[in-house]
Amino acid sequence: MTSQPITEITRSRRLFLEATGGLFAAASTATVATAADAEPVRTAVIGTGARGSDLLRALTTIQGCEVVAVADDYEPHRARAAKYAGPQAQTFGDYRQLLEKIKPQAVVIAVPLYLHYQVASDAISAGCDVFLEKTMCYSVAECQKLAGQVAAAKCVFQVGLQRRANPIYQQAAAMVKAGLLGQISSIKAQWHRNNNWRRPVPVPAGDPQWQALEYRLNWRLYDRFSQGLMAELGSHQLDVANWLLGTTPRRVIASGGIDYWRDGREVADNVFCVYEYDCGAGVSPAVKEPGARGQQPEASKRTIRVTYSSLCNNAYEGASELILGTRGSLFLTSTKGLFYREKLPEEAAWLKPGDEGNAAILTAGKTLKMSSSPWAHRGEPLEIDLLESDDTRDELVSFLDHVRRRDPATICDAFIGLADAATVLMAGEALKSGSAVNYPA
Amino acid sequence: MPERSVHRTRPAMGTLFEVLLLGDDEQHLAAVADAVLDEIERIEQLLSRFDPRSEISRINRLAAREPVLIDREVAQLLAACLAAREWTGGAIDIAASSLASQASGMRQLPDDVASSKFAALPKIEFDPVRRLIRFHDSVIQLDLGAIGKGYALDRAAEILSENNIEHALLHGGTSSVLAQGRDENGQPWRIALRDPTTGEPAETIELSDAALSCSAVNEQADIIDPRTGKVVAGEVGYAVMAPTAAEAEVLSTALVVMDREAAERFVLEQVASDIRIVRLAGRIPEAVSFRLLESV
Repeated sequence: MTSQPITEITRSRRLFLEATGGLFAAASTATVATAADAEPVRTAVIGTGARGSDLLRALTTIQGCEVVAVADDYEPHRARAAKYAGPQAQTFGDYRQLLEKIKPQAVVIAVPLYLHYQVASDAISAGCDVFLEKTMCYSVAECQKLAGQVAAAKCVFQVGLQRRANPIYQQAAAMVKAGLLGQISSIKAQWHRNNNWRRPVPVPAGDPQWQALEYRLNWRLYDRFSQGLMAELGSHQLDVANWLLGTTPRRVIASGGIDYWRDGREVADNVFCVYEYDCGAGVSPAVKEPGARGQQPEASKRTIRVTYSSLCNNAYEGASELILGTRGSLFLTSTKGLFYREKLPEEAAWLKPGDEGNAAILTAGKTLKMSSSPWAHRGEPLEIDLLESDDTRDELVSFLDHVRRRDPATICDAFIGLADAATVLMAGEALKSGSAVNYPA
Repeated sequence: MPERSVHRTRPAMGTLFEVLLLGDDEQHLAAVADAVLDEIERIEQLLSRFDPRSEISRINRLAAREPVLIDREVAQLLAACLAAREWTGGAIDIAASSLASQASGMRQLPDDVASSKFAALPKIEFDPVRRLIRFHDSVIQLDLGAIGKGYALDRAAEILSENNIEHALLHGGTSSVLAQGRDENGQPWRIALRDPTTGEPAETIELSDAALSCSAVNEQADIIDPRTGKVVAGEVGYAVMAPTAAEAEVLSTALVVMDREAAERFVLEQVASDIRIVRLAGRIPEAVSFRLLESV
């Protein structure tokens, strides 16, 4: 089939082309949306790189939130954010000007870690409620100062540890509390990926601008801006450990290095940590342990060990946490949870009469063959599905709700954020020193 | 031509995306390749009706109950899909195809269901300026399957140009391809349409700064006509080359849905000279196949 050349593009095709031409082509035609709700929360976003863009876009879908301004000192990110935010939002290169001129009620901050304290502190001083991406600050001292400022200002403050807003983790916390896992003995958490953790730099390596852009875009790879994998990835999962265990670790040992991606980066690409948590009865509810029968010492405190690893050249089991208890194991990811019950001693299946599988073994008269499935003796897991949730959007909905109600008890307040930061930063210290590091006093 | 290349794949949208980038700095190419695949994954997370975190899932859950305020990018894409419905006379309809995908399990919807559920238009109310969408019927579910891969490739191409990559080949599941610049010999990228019965390349198409998409119905692949809810009959296929992958994908699907006469009329009346269409009658490709799949 051949077509006659048509020089004029038809109207419907033009509509289609305009609409598929990317955000950048058509956004200028949009007009201001009028929020139906009275008194929308006037919200600004500071720092509009990848994570800031995700947060910004989620904000634009929340009724009762008006994105009034965005700020980023990197022009391409600022320009992209302007499109995501819409024409009603003013753009700034300097966030201080945004705070001064716009006076937003709420500020969502997603700048590089080394700037967290300064930007958040300035926003609180300007009278704003603050949502601050994890990790709370670059150092524990900064976290403490900021927490003090939050308390003094009585502002609404939330750290972006979105698993706190995720129904799977909420369910997991409830299961642990109810004793479904029995007594927790350890947690194995990991964030394993197979890539170089780099963002592309838009100029070639020899270009005079390259180094500055490299630091700006790949700040996560350099010590003075970043606390590496522990802060960028581990913070989410050690917050889960702190949350489920109801406390913070006593001590950590850690090992790591730049083992694979030797490309000039300064932060480790391979990290292993062992944390020790001293836990009381709160964590391991009064479950009667089979076989224990009073032989067990009255342990008001016992040590729970949490291993954490993050590496950048193998992605097996990705980002996940495995909670190990005497009655079961809970495998968690942000989209699915799996609960495997332990096979308890009184349930030895082959002693039960009438079991079809065992009958087959007996009649065949052959050696019992072990299943190759590592979970076979535990049976099929119980699943926790994520039915309707986006934890990034949900954490912002919750934050804005607290802002509206003037309720400082957010799902991840300054104390939770501080505890999480202290937990990951002590591992960073242990990595560098090679010695065990205690939780900061 | 550049000396170096980086080749990466990642599963997304129920298939495998593959990128081949040419350039001089391998570390840069690797970072861009990851960024391109991240972008494709981002689009999947925005559009997938199977991922409960996606905007489309949120719309599908809520829009029958209340108007849903949606993300600007999704709003714009929905506007494009509605324009595509108008452009193709209803052969592309994102609001019908979820029912259709239920139907494809049973080959065909009963006639009464087909007429009542598929012909009742408009099924959705959409205000692109206020970014509000509402369904008139709780059975409606959006499904952007007919445009998602192409749209993702177009966004991926934007990442390439932001990062000064001039020569690249990207494809999603070998049915939609986007070619930038030239191949490593300085020639246009050459894409082979494969004969499904012999597996041999049946036709080679040269592609440079353009996209190619291929759709077909045969024993393996059902396509439902959203206007009737019925499975498209016969064996027919189209390969469409267009400036953007979204357009190529939408057109190739729409042409398969139309009967031959309507398709020919549509091409004559609605398709401009920057689009090339190949009808693949009697030799229906199951997919596009790439030289790079074999040689790398």
